[in-house]
Amino acid sequence: MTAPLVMVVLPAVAAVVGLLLGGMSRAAAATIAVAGPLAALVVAALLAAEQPWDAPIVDAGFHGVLQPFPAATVVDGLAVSVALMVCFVATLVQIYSIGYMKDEPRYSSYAAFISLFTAAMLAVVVAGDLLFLVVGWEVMGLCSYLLIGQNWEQHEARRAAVKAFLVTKVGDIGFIVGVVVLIGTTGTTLIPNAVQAASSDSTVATVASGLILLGVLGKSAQFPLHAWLPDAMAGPSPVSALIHAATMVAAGVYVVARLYPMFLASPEVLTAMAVIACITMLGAAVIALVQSDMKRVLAWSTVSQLAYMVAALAVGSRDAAVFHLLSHAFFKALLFLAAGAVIHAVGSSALRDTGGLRQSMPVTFMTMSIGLLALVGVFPLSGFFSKESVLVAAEHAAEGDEVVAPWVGWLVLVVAVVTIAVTAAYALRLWMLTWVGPRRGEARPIHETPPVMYVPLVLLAVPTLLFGFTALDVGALPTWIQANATQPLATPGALTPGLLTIALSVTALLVGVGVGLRGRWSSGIGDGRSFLARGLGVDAAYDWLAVRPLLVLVRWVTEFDSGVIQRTVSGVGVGTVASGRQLQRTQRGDVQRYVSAALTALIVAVVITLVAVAT
Amino acid sequence: MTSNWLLPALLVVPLLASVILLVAGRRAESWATWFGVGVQSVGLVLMLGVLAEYKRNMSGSMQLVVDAEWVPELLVHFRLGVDGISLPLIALTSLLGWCAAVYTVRRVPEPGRARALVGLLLLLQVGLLGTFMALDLILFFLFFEVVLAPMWFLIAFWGSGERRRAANTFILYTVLGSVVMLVGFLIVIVKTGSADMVALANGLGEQMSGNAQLAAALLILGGLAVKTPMWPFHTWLPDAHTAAPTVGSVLLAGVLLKMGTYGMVRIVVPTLPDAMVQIAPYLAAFAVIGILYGALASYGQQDLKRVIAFSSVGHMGFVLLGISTLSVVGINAALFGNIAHGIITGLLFFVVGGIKQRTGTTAFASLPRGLYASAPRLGFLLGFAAVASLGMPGLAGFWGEFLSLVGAYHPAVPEHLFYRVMLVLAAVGMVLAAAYFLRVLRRVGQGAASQATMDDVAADEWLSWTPLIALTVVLGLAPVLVFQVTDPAVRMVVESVAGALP
Amino acid sequence: MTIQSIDLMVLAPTIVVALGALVALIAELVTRRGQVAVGVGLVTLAFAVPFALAASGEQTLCGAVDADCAYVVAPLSVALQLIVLVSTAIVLLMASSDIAARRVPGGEFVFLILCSVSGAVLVPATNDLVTLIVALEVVSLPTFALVALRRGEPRAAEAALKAFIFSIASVAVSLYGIALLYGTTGAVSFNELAASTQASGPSPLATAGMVMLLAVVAFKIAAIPFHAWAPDTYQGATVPVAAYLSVVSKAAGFSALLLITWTFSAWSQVWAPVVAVLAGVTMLGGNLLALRQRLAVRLLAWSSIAQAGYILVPLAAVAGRLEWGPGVTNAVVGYLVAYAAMNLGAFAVVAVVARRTGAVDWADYRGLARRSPGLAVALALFLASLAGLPPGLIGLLVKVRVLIVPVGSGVWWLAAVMAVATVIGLAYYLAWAAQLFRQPDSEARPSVAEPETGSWTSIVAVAICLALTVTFSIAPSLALGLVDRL
Repeated sequence: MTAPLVMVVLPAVAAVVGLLLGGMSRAAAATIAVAGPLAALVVAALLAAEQPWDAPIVDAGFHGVLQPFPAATVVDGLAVSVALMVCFVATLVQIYSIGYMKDEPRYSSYAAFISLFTAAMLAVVVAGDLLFLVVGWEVMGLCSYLLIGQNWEQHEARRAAVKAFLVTKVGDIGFIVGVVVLIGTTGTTLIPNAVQAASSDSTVATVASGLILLGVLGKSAQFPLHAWLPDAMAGPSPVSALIHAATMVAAGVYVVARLYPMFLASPEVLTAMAVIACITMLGAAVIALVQSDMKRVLAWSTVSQLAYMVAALAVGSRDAAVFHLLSHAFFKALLFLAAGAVIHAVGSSALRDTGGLRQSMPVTFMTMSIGLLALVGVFPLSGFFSKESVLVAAEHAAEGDEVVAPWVGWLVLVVAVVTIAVTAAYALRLWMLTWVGPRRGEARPIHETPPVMYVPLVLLAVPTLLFGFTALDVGALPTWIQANATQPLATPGALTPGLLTIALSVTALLVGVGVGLRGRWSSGIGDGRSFLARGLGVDAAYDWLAVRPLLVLVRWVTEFDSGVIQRTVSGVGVGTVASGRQLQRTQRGDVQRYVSAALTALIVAVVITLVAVAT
Repeated sequence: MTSNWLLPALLVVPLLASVILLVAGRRAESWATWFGVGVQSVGLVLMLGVLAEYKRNMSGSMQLVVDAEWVPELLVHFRLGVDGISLPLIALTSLLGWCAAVYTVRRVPEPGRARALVGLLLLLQVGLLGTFMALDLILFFLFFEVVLAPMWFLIAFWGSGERRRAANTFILYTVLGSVVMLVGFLIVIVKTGSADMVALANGLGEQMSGNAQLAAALLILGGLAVKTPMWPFHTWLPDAHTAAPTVGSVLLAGVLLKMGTYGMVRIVVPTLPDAMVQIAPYLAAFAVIGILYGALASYGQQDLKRVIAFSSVGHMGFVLLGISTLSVVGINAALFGNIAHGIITGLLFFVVGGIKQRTGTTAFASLPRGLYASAPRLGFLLGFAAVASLGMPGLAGFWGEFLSLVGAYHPAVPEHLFYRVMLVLAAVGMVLAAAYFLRVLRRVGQGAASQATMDDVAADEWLSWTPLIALTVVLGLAPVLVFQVTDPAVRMVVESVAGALP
Repeated sequence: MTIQSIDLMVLAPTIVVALGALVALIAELVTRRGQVAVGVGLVTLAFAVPFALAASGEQTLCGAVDADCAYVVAPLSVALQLIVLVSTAIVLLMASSDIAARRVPGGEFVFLILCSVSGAVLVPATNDLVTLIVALEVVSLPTFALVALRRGEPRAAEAALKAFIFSIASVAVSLYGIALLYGTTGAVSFNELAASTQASGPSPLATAGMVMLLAVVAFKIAAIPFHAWAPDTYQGATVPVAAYLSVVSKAAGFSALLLITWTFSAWSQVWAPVVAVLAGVTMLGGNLLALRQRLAVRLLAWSSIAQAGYILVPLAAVAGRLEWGPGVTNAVVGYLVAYAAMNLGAFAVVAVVARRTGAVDWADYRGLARRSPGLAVALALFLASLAGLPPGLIGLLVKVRVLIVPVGSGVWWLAAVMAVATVIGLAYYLAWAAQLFRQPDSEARPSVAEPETGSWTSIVAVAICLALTVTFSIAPSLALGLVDRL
């Protein structure tokens, strides 16, 4: 078994062991839980040590008759950097969960599902075969369902879990069909070969990438398939951290990056991506502004930030997208874990129950503040650099240097800048409502979380602070995230901020902060029931466009089945018996009637044959 | 050394055993179930013998062939053999038979009478195995019919609810189907003068005129479609499943349904290729209607067993879609789908049977909530089987369905655009399948437990279910274990169609 | 036609049986024990078998030319004679218990039945119309007395009367038909008739005569709509007599039908549609009417009507491209052989059960598997065979054999009707079989375990039928290839 496969299998084994030995002690369960992703992290580091950005490690999987599975893998710089991030975040989430899920009776299966989630994401990352990719992709959907529904006693959790699974599954119709088209037209399942073949035919590229895009919209929570993600906060906070940072949502962006040459061959699809990203980016940020729940604010912010990555892909810069993916992963994981710490302390995630926590939870306060600053994009935090790279890419496109039309670049640039302002506003609002001002909610002693929970926060704060510098020309990242397995492309200096974009973003940021400071947030937390807070009625649209018609169809089919098909069948039976009963009336026992019937039949037979013979 | 005795032995052992139980009298009640396990274990060993003797590198041709003239007046030969198409199904039958026997030891359904139950199960085994081994049309038909009476008894006597009506619907409907199929067989026999399935597949059948082929193919497919069951001939299935005892449901869904699709691949496609090419698009349409209809109807059901029954309609729709592509990938996918559905739905029915045994019901209205809490392991297995059944990649249920779609992208028949529309609709069906299974899990598994505790999975249940659980995972991770056996045989079949393509 | 020679050896089966009838009557008078008559009957039947086999290929009662014999023994004739002889032996075994219990006078019973058999072994070898009709009436006449021979059963006389009235009607029709044929062709001999039909196309009068002859056969085999006497008569008679009527007398009818259709094979396009309609109506009607029946004997009556419909199918399908030939004969004879075994078996079980418990209704069969597992299993097998469902393999295979003919000749509608009829038939056979294995009712009537004298013979009858059905199921060629083996 090759190293990339080992990396996938290790957390999977941890998951299986955790499930099989459900009754083991908590400590053992925790050890296994942490060991899985940690071991994978070690393997990822070993892989990175081989410098795959120079020469990708391509493995065609097992050969010959005994090939048990389409296990071809490709490890290039892109894969290894994302894998490192995934393993890192997953390990921290597992460690954090030890503390956070202390009183959880189903800890063992919970931790196992997180390990499985990690394994599935790693499978997507290293997959060199489309079928392998599909496996990882779908298992992730399953894990998100299982983990969001961790508290399945609660109605909310049940609903959110099903919603997450089904909404992403709807996108997967496109994904699956897209993969089928790709396999069908190129005749291969190996990703590098298939992508190369598909990118040389623009029709195939458009169809396949358009279909796959549907799946990406679902997984990466882009309009109109985004609505599952805010609800997914019904799951425990560490799960949110994992889903929002390292696994589920990252997978969508990652897959586009992996198949990027094919997308580049289709300006139509890229344009569609740009439009969708712009809608999502700004819309989600605005919605985040009015949320009454800490985790919901963060969830909508994820939707909005993912749109930056999709936008970067749309305007032709995979590197910017991946850069933002990585930096976002660090600060968003940090934010969710910090939010979890607050929930742990306060017992609620509603903003009406927080406020004034600064003194009692200093570590959480510090780390979450760093996270929020990164989210807003304040220099020199990682979010600043990565967001800048997106803006730079949009600027390039606006100048007509990319495959998409210049107006697409302008659109992205404008919307992204406006969104920066809104982001600053909601981040500030969240920060103030959580940490400053008077303490709201029930009075109870607030303590800082135990080390097992705050150490991961600190560990995540480090890359949140420093990761951005790697993107400078002197840093290693531009070389690292080249995906030279599918396309050797690297634009030197692409990730370096430009003057224009810095000016724009700083202006927007200041505007946003100004608005944020003027908002009287603490008096108007809201109840989360307004049209805006409910996500601009997208859920209602799902309901009217999909759920209700489907339920009507279900009713029709059920009625048709019992009313028409089944009744036809049983009607035949009943009719047969009834005709037997009718016939029985002719058998009454009077012999004269019998004989005359027989003779009549005879006469009829004779007459008919005579006529037949005569003619 | 010749091992041709293996296949007849696989039939003779359960047959003799059931005769022994018949004549043993009432004193056999006490040891009948153990006897059943013994006999099925012997069958399993024989099956391993077959697997050992089977030459994988010659999977395209018939192996371990037995041929003896039996009824010359009807051209019937007692002709058995196994190739890549039948081997997986034979193995599946042996395995599920064993699982059912183990399950029966401690769980003889009401009203008892273990001797008769085991005897009927063994007889059922004869019919199922015989169907998959037969290489003579009439012999195939006979084995096809052998299955009916035991299954009828199982439902009518050990079932629940409206069992008698369900049993009668089952047998009358499927007999009507098989008589129709027989007429099709007879057309083939009369026109070609042979009932030898191998010879017919190797070009003898193609010599029939176009119209004769079409008539025969429609009749045979019609009969097999009832068994499969293909929409709209599925009505007997939900009732039969709801009424049947657990082992009955398991074997019904696990193996019985496969006889229909197996017959299509084994007989109709290679023997009547010209007709098959004409019919294939219609078959695809019916298959896809079945996928969507099965999913929607599943969602609307108020009984756990009925949900799974309708889900079978959908799953078999994928198998039919695979067959209708007449392509190497599609037919391989269909054969894999057969096996996967047998394993997974068998497991599902076992688990649901376990639930029914504990709660006395499978109706949503009366089922207690929160199985995950009251019996975590049983709940886990329900979730596992449901997830496998909804086509989760990495588990066995996925590959058959996914590869049918791949097959439908490049069908061997010319109507590519039509098939692509079908492909998309079938993919929609995959999502709908997720919807109704999640509904089941939400209703049965999740929620605060309304019943504090329930007996969790017992040792004997683990014993009889573990092979299915393991296979679900193993075939999900290594589908090639099946494909390496089926592929050479499928290529032979597809080759015989190639000449018929325009 | 003047008879040139009479070869008694060729006629021996009939003569032996006729003599046996007399011996049986006398033996009972002398010994005053009915079972002696049964014994004589069985010996007689056994004695007739080698004679029947030896006569194969011979002919007698010949006229001036050799080709013009009134009695010609073909392999087909021998096969049918064997069916008659063996079946009758089984019937005698069944009846022996009744006789021992003095419910039925033994001597008369055996005498009458052997008289009838002497006609039945004659029928398949007759070679002219007059001999045929006479032989058929020899079969029928004693049966009326047999039906009436049930002491203390008022319905028996009525049943006999019904059969008698039908018989008179059929004789009248047959004479009229012969007259028409003789008037138009000047021939009564089958060979001459065949030659004449081959020479000329069907003339109206001759066809009318032919159709009338077919109607006569339809009376004998109780094909719908000439069937109405059968259910009432079966029910009125004792079970063994009903069994005799449903198998032996029906076999005689089919013998006649084979001869007539062979004779007129050149005109098959005229008679085959008539037979086809007859077959279709009989299969469907018989099965439909059986659906609602709950009385064992009456149900078997309807079942045997429906079965006759299946046997008609091969002849009916001759209208297509398939010629009248060995295929058709084999199908008919094969079905008759299987039918004899399974139908007699069912009747034999009914006889035993009726005697033990007085059961006539289905409800009385409930829980039979508990009380008498052997009988229940046997009956289940017979019913499965009649239904054409494994494990009753032979029943299924003969149905397949029969179905080949319409499929081969393209008479699709008949194949379809047979398919539907089979499914309907399955419904009631199964429903009855289900009764056997159900838990006995709590207020089930107490099983009258009468240690009746001579009841073992009925069990032997069941056992023989069971053995035959199983043997045929394992080696179906014994039934399907019977004619070819003789």
